[in-house]
Amino acid sequence: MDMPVAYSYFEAMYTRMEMIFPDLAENIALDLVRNIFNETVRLDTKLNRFNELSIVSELNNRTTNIPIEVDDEMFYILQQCSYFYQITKGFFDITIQSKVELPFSSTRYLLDEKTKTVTFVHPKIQIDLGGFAKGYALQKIENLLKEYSVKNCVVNFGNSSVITVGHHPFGDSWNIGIEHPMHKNESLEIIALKDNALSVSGNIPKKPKHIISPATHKYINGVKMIVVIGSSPLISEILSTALFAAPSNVKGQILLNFPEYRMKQLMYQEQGKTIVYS
Amino acid sequence: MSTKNIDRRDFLKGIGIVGGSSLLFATFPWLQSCTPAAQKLIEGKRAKIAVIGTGSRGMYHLNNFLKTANAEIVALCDIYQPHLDEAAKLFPKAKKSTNYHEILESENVQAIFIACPLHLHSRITIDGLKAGKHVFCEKAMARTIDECMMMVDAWKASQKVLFIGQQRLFDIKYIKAMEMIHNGKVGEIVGVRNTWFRNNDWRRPIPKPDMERFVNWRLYKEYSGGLMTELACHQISNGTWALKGLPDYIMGSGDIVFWKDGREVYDSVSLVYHFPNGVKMTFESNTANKRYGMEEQILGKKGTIELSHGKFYPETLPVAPGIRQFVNQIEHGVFGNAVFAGTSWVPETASDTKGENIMQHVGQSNGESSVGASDDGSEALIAAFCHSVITGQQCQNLVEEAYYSSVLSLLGLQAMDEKKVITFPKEYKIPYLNFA
Repeated sequence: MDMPVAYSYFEAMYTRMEMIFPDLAENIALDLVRNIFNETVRLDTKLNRFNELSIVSELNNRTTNIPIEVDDEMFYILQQCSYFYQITKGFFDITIQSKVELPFSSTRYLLDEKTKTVTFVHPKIQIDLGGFAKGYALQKIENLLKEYSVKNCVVNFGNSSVITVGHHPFGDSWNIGIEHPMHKNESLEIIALKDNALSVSGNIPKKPKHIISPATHKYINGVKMIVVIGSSPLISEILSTALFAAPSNVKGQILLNFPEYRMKQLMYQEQGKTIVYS
Repeated sequence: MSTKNIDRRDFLKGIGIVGGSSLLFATFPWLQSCTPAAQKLIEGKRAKIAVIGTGSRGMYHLNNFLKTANAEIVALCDIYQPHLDEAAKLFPKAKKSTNYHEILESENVQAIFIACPLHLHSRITIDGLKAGKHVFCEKAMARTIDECMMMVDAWKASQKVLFIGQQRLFDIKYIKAMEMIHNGKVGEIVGVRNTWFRNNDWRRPIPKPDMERFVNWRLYKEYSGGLMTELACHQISNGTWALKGLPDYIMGSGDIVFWKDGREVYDSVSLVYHFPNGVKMTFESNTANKRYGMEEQILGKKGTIELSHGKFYPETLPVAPGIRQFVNQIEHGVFGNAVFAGTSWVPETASDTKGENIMQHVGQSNGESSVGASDDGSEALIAAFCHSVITGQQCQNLVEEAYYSSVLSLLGLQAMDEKKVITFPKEYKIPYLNFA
């Protein structure tokens, strides 16, 4: 069998984006990849808090608490983040990196639709779109894939955020394995995706503590991963972050608001049984 | 990392070359004597060698000679009787002498092997060549540039074999690395860095006070160029080999920073060797801190080679398997899984990659010993010398290589002593590479 398949990758947002397009003409694939690259780089520049020229840096470097005008896209992003902050009961929090410890689940900023301005409630509030940007970029890429009428493809953003369109040319889905963090190429779980997105958040032995709980302001311990599967890459991304941080009794409450999204919690150890909760 | 002694018959196989390679010999012509055909020529024959200087370095080589089938140690010479007696225990049948002129008069001696203090190299080498002997002289070549030049002139006039103890020329990990560099593996070379750090006073115990300068000759300018002639001259060749050229000017700074014990040579040096294409090679050495040991790095646009560790670090790291597993399946018309999903992948940086071994077995030295190391090319070097003595054929380019590594080390010393930028003097250029 000799089926053409286009593969491309580039680095952005401190990780790698890669994509495959089976059975797509080379010139179309090249044009599509170029557009995906441009859009991803644009967002990386705009949303990266470590880039001094980004809008996020501009907001974080403010010296007063007066309303700050932002462009339409940034206003939409802040609206989205505010909405998901509430609906996840404070566990999706883009202000977790603030230089001040604010009461859990309290209002962080106010948005004015008319003036397209944001007003932070404390001068030391900082925003970090790390748990949002990849999902948002993939959402934008989904639009591009529709424009180009792509029938089948996979876009992988740093292994933790994946979107699929259609299915594997020789199967009826894209079967993606969650890799055991301690055993390369060994899967903890195989997930069949078809026109779906997948997002993973968690601790691995190499980085056992790197996500801060918005509730306690302490690093979340333990070797576990949260996998979320659903139609929107942005919602999947937000949910995997929030569900990883949320305690067990709150996870279910959050998920009630997202009936079309599935969560898997994977516990693992060096040897022995893997426990999977769905 | 595993270490394995490579049999001389397998020397070229050790770097993945079987039956010789014209490309390899164009760059390393001195390796011609290492081919199986060249080895066959001297099967069952032995070079009759006298070792002059049986101190620590001499003993190191005498032990190497024990492993060399083509050598017969016929005479031993040292002015210090305890050293001579020690060497005689290894070779009891060898003639003993405290006067090297006696050795040179001996008909039974085909070649002399000089492992004396540096200031004696030139005199004994020239006397040896004039006496019709083949000569192996330890590095550095000589104490002064003029003496180096006189040795080259004497060698040319003699038609005899001359080897200088630059063992890296026969160290397979260096040869393999240079082959990779010349094949473009690291891309265009943009820098060469050499460091040699130790933490010791470089002193040896003296039996009685009046023997200080005799025993610790390395610490006094009359006999030694210090770190430059003892260490730098090994590493200076790295730039010449990698860039296939010689530096045009040198600058540097040297001081006695820590060991203020009456020594005259620097214990801290830092130099820059500038090549005509703008590439800089650095040499830095300090003897009061060993954290970074002995390092030699060739920096290229596409990657870095650490010569002393036999490691290659590409600038662009290999792509993680990720969804490429699907590509392979689709190309082969099969359906399958791709296992890659997990927490966010972060690109590795040069500081946390382990690098690739450039060959299967890499012998390493941390550069701490001032006597000698194993697996550093020394055995192959003396075996090549025996081959040349038996056949009477000089290894091509070996003298030029040694001359320039010594002269460049001494010019570095001059730059530090005079606190000046030294342009390579015309009068000291011998035809080789860009100075041809």
